[in-house]
Amino acid sequence: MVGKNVNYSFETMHLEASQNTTPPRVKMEAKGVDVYYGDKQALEKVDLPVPLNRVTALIGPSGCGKSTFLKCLNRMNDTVVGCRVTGSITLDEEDIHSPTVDVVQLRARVGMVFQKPNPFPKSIYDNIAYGPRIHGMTRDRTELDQIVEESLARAGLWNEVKDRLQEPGTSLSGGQQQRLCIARAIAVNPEVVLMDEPCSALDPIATARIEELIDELCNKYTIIIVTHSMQQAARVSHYTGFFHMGELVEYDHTEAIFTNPQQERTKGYVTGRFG
Amino acid sequence: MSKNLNPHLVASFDQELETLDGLLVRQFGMVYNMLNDAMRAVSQFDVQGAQEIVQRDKEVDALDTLIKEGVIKILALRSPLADDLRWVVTIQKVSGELERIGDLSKNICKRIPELARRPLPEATSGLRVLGFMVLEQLESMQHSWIDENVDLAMKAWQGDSAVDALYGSMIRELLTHMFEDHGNITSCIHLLFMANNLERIGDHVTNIAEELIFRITGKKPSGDRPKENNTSLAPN
Amino acid sequence: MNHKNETPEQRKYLAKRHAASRRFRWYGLMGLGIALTTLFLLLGTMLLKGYSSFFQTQIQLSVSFDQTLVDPVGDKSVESLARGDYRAILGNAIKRAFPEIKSRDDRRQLSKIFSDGASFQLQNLLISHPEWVSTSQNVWLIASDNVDMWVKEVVDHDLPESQRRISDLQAKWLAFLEVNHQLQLRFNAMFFTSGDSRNPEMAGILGAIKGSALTLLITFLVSFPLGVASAVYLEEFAAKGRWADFIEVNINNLAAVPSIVFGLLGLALYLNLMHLPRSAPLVGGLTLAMMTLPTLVIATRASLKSVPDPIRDGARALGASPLQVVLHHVLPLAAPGMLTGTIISMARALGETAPLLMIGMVAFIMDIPGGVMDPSTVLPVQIFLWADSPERAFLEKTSGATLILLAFLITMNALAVYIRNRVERRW
Repeated sequence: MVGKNVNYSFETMHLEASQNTTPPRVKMEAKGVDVYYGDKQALEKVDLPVPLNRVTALIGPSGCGKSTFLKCLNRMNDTVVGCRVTGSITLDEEDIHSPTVDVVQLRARVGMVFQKPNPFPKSIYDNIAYGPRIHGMTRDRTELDQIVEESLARAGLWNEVKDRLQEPGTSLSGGQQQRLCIARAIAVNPEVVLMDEPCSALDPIATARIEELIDELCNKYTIIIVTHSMQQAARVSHYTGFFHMGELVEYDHTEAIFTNPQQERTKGYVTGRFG
Repeated sequence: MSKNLNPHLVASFDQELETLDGLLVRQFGMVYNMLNDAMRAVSQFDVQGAQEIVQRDKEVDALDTLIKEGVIKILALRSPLADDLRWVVTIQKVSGELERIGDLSKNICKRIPELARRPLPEATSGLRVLGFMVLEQLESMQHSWIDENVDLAMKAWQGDSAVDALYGSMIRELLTHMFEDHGNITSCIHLLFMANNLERIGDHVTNIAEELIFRITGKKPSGDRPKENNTSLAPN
Repeated sequence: MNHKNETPEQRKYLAKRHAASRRFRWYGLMGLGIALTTLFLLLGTMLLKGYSSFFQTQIQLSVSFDQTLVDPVGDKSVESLARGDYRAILGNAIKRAFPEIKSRDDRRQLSKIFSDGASFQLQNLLISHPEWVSTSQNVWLIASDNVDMWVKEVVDHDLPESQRRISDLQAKWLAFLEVNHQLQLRFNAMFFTSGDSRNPEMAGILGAIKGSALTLLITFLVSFPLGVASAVYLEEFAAKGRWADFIEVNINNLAAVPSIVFGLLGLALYLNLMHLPRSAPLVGGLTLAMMTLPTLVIATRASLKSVPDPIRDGARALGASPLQVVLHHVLPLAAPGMLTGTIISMARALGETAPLLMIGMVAFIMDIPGGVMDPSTVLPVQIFLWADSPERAFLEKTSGATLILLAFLITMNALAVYIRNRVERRW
């Protein structure tokens, strides 16, 4: 029987057994983030910490603002007409909207994987090499070859494509394409990887591959994943935030969100009951 | 329908949960009747009745199997989460506890023929009181399950210490009877085991209370179990 | 399908629906049939009428290149040969071919069966074969347009003599020549190698083709970079808003402006204000560029729009700058569409007449233009000019030139289709 004042959870014990025992450092943090599209407010006072080397899942019904929030983290909203972001979003305690932060550089540090696999209509090799090339990360072809191989290997795709690097990326299957996009994102060696419903267009086996990949990648990267599938959030993430009507309703350990949510709205959403 | 929760978007999920919960409530009733009848058989030294009660345990076991199948089906097909998950998992555990209570009631009945050979009415009265207390707890547990009443469950959980206290004093009383007349020893030993069975039933009821509290609040009741020392057979 | 619960009403309704879709298919096939018939009728008549312009009547003569007449200096140099009296040479050759004809009038009639250009033809022949000096050669010489029409039986041979251009005497000679195999319909190389002429048998379309090519070159060089640049700016960089809408509406309106208005603008701007040379391909090209630009911008924007946003997002998420996104991803993907649009607008510019009339490209120009500043004409204007000419023989030239123009247009459109199909869209 567990003693009186010891508050272990399965989650923390699992984590501490598999990783180091120090509590995770906050890698990115949103404080009081409001997002407006024109006059419409899409997000309201979102406070959300993103722990280092952990997977944070964002769940919620369609139009709840979770994707909008994700796009704020690498400023993909910048080009959206009429979109306004207020409040502070920090990456390693530096505001990503501060004038000293270059958006191009920010996106090299905060990579993104999209809902639909979107490989460039170029060869597999060029898909991966594109990021390192535009950021001038390599001095010669050998280095570039190495980055391409490493990224593909890390995305678990190397063995499947090593003999056909010059074939177009679009010739791969859906799941392979998505892993290609993940490899493309990690080729520029980002610190944070944002994933916007990365499995929604994939079959269960391809989905399982990606989930396994996420599990492996979180040792090296901080991952934030938006997903419609609560089972997926439960499977891959350590922390979960529930968005509803532009608010972050609840943020907690994933285990707590799915076994014992504190907010009525979370409970209703998670159990599939009318809210 | 669970009174604390909104209905599901998928109505058939609600129906399945209700069916499962209904089976558990029926198991509650079956076990309650079994124990109640067992206690009456004890007080009347009704050997015939006792044998009939022993047969009823099979029904309880069958119901338990049915509930476990239902739970697995819901877990596999509906992937319940949060309150639903706790509800389903708790149903499985409570059903297991009830099945154990049924077993223990059966054990009590099995000893009735031995006891009836040399009835000791004055030594049996304590057992009847203990049985009454446990029955009351079980009934109140059934009500708190149906009403999802955490306060009532909490009272049942705390009430276990009274059962333990009574059990302790019964042991001392039975020892006295045995010291008085060595011919009583056989009956007293049987009575002792029956008392022990009742005390175990009390523990299972306490477990059920814990499960219900977990189901509703998501937490086990905090603090140690209110428990008297029930392992000591020695007086004082 | 016999469904169990089908009511007669439902079955009737279903039959009606099927009948409606069958009817619709027939309407479509009918429309298509009408369009195809019209197209084939047009092409057919053009081919029938224009086909003969690729051949011309030529007459074989034995010509003796008397050195005293053709090479006054005597060194067989081009300058010397150019100063020769080829009219006399031709006259002598005709005299030798028909020694029995003595009367001055008959001689004149006889020389009329040859084109005015026959002596030039002799000159050109000799310049390319200087070794022929002082020899006799059998050469094919162009017949006059009237003979050509007569031989091609465009004019009715049974008309009374007073109503035809060929006298009975001339007809007799022609018959004699034909019997001797000295009169043939031969491939009309001149049609493809010379400029315009007052003499239909000597008129060619090379000048117009070259003029068209130079004009189109200017149009392309001006409108393609400008059009692509403005389309890329409007589509990829400009902030969407009231201004963008305003510009978009105006571009659409410009595309719908009648082409003659661009001609007026070209006249006012390039000729009157900037004093650029009249009738020059430069001015024509600039004018057509103005006309093409809106269409080109619209076509380019459409092909830019068809590049899916996920491609842009993917590049941006990797940290590509807006310019890199456009140069590395959007333009390569939009290129086939842009090229198709460009080729089609170029084809439209190639067929355009009205604005060119306004800037003087309708003038009669014999010389083949050597550069963009030389006066020239273009194919459709040449067709317009020939169609307006009184000589009977220009009629077939008109059709012939139209065939050439159609061939160019069809080639360009086919190229556009080829590019569109070739570059498969893979996203």
